[in-house]
Amino acid sequence: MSEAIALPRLEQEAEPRPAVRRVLGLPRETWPRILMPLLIGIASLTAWEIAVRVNEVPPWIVPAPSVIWATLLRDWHTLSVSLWITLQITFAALAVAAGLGLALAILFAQSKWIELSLFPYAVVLQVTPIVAIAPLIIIWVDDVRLALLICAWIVAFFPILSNTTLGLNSADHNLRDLFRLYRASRLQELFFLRLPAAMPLFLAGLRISGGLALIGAIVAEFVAGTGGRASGLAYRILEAGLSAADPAHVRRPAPDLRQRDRDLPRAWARAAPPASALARERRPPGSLSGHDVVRCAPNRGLLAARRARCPAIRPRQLLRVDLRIEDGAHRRRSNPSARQP
Amino acid sequence: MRILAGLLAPSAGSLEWPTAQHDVRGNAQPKLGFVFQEPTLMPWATALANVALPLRLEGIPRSEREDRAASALARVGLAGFERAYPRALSGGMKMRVSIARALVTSPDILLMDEPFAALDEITRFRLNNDLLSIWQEARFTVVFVTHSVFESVYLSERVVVMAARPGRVVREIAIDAPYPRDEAFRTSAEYAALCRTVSLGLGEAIAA
Repeated sequence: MSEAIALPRLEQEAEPRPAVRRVLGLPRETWPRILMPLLIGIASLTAWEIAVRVNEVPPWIVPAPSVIWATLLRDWHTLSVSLWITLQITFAALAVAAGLGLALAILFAQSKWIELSLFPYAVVLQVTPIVAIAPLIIIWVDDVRLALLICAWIVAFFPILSNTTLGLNSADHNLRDLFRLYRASRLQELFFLRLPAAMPLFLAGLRISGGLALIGAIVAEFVAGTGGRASGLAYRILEAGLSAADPAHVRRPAPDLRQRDRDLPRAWARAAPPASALARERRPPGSLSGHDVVRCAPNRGLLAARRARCPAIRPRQLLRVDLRIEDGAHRRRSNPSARQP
Repeated sequence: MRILAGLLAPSAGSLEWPTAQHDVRGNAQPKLGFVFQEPTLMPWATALANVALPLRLEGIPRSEREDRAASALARVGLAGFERAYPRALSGGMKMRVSIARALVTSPDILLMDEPFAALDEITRFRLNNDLLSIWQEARFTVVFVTHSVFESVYLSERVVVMAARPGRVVREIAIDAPYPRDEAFRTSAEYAALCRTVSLGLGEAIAA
């Protein structure tokens, strides 16, 4: 016992790691994590499918998973383009939000005064409903993609800012004392202590913002309502909503978007306004061009087309015509010819 | 302890260092090492990187600071754990890393703020012995704060009993027992008598 103390004797504290048992190349513990959610997913989809079939729920109320899958596959061409556009905006907004959020949080961490004076405005930005200011942003910014990016950014920005600010200030107090003791510079403290300490919270913020950026992008697209081939998911949702609202459609299977996109310009060219409308504008029937607007009650496109003696239009094509008609009803309100009795 | 480390300004009195080296700002300040109550390690860095931190802050080149950190780790009995992260280490081992970090700059004074309070008795004995043998080699000054009478007597040449509110010195007791001290000292009559003296001093401090 009176021997000088021999120091290296920590072997008993260091246990060798047990070898990881692998099943099919993956660690054993990983399998339940994959299999259990998969099982739940399959079970609930099956229950859904059965419920829809047994109760004969029409697809415009609740579509069966099989119908959704089939529609996804059939319209994949159109949908994937829209998905890609929306995702581009989402990721761009997330990247900008992460960059600016981090930069601003670092600025906040440098001085309590800056944080005190600017943080309330960050909160204001957060609680402003995006639906309310999205139209303004779309008016202010000429480039629609940029406007959408800004909207998505506003939504995604705050969680990253607040989380990172919290993270930067959450570094262990003793460690901060230690840095002071060794006379660390501000920059050293930032890079060696605060930034690594903020990392978990920053990543958590990124996770929240990822979802929010997507929501922001879709909401902005809803408001912007950009059509055409270069349009995002929201436009497809709007379109689907309008076609589902057409009673002529709901009795039929969902429209083939790809075929319809090709048909549309011709359909517009053939579409003629109702006789009454033509008479008011003093134009002969059938002289309507693709950019003319037919005024009629919402969802009465089929009727309007029939009155305009345009039998070549199939109901499927009318969906888009219908859309334009409603659109036109809005725009033409200020037209003096529309106000004539 | 925080006043000694320069983290707090004293509310009364002043702080003077006898053999003062002057830092860049012209303040007299010896080289300090600080061991906190908790290990206070950076969870994202390996044991080696944690120990090398003070050197890194001083701007010492990488290869030199890794060599010095590795030898500091070896001194506290953690050779072979350079690449381990704090979460993989036990409480006692984390404390050893923390001590190695305080030793890596070869301080003149090592400040230890109840470093072993959170450890179990066996680990604490072992670390006490290790601390004594490191101190025997390097011969720096250690200021060690503890709530344990036995620990204070076992480790020290001088025990200062302090009272709280306001913080003040109540008694100073010299422990004349020779080093190296070991388990035999821990069970001697001399040790028991000294513990008694310190306990009495503590009683005074509470009464005061």
